[in-house]
Amino acid sequence: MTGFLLTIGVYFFTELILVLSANLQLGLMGMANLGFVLFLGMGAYTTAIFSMGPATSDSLQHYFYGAALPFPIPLLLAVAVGSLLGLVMGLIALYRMRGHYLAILTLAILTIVWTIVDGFPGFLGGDNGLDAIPQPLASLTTTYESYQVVFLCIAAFCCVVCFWFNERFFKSPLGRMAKAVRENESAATTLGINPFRVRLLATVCGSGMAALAGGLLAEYVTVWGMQPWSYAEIFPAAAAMIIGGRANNWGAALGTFATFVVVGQGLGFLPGFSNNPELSYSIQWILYGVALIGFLWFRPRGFIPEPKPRWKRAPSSVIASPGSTPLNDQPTSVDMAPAHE
Amino acid sequence: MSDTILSCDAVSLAFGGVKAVVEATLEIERGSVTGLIGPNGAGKSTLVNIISGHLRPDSGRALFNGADITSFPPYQVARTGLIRTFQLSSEFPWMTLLENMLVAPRQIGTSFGKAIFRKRSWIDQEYELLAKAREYLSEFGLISLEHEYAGNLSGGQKRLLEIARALMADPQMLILDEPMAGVAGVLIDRIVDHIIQLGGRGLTFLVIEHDLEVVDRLCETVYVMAQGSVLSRGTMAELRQDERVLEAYLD
Repeated sequence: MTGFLLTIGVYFFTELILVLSANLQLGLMGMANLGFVLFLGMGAYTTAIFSMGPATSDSLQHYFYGAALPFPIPLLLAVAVGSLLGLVMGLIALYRMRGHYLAILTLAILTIVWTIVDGFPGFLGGDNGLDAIPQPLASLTTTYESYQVVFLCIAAFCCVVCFWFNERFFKSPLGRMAKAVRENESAATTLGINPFRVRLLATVCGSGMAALAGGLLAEYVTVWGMQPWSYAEIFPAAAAMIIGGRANNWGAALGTFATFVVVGQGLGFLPGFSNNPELSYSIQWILYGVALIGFLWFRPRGFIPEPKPRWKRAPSSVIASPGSTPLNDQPTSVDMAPAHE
Repeated sequence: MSDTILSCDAVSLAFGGVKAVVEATLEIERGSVTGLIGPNGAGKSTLVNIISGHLRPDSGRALFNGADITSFPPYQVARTGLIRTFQLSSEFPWMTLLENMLVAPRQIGTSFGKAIFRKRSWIDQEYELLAKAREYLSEFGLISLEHEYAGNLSGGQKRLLEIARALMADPQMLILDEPMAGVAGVLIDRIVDHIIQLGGRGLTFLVIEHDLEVVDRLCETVYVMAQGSVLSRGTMAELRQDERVLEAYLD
């Protein structure tokens, strides 16, 4: 049981990193960038290749290059490669594409790369995938369970860093700028904001984050293949973000818990599901769909909606500016027509 | 002409076969409130879109403070101190009034490294701008709504917010594209008063407006456009005597 909980903990933290990446790009920035799982995959492959050592002709798996670098370096390289690929995709996709077009284009890029990797087994293992990816710091402990604790700490640390990064981003003038571009791009532009720069920044950071999640997953599971970064994986991550609350990192955490832990793992405990993984897998997807539709319909801003900013320092005297007298002496009419509910 | 802040020099733009703007030339004096009127489809908004960088003209130039801004993208035009508003009110609906205000000024904390890693470098400026935003909000009678989402304001309040927000960018000139569209009675007077008062403080305005009574109250100089070209220029009293203007628009 402890082992199971530790495993769930590791999945929670790695998936949360992916959802935080989606939250930065889709939630805060409002970009329909569906390519984020591409970077999950690329991060995983980068980590694998830089930790597995050179491919030998007598080994049963095939991949190009290969090096055996010590622990944090493969993950850091994954972040670097992910960010760089994000930059490339951003330069291609973001300059002119918006909304649906961006969604389709990023989906197309994902599918193209996925098909190429699938079609050239010698490149990254193709459909056979890669296995025996070394686990980091494996020499620290001897038992399986104590190693789980080590990995949980690594995943939790990475997750906290990403969470902190997102919080800083969201609550800075830069994040406000990103929100303004999301809310009304042309108005933001006429206030001197270059929307392309903000979008590109969010894409690069989000891609690096997704790549980190991929690297952690590959190192934890020790195998990696085509399935975990196929286009279907966009869905639970986006669902977690929408259910939890777009542009709210605590919401992302709650949504990740609800989708990946409660629905993803909890079903197995129900009678009738425990011996039927295929059934629980299908039910899981139905639940994701129902939850997504339900939330978009009844609570589109999610479980914990985007917070209003609060400035902590006490306001200085703000009655009126010294040089000008307020023109209106009548009280402001607060006719709050709910313009968008 | 004493001190020109903005000038358009024979600006033309055609969309396919439709000549939207034809050799439009105008000069705006610094510190003035100038009107731009004309029937629907006269090319007023197109001309403003050219000035603000949203459209690029086929020929002609736009000069702001003597610098050629014709090829600037919109955000660079804005950074020169020329801010425009839109015909449709363009608040950021899911951001509070204070957030709306704080988007406009250029801030240290919008640089990536400083935003993430050096909060100390921008937090003081943030609070200075916050105080300034609150001053403007109280001047425009919106301070009691500072934490409200801008999407919940009434049409007229949104217009006030837009002008207040533009002021946060410390502009030299504002171009208002139909600022009274969708605004009810009392608030029209308030917006007019604000524009007159800000004009008195030296801010330059170019106002596109259909309500000629409002134009009369606001503007010393008025340009009339029709069918893409600038037809005439003068005070409202002069324009009311002008045969061509009467024929094209004023009847």
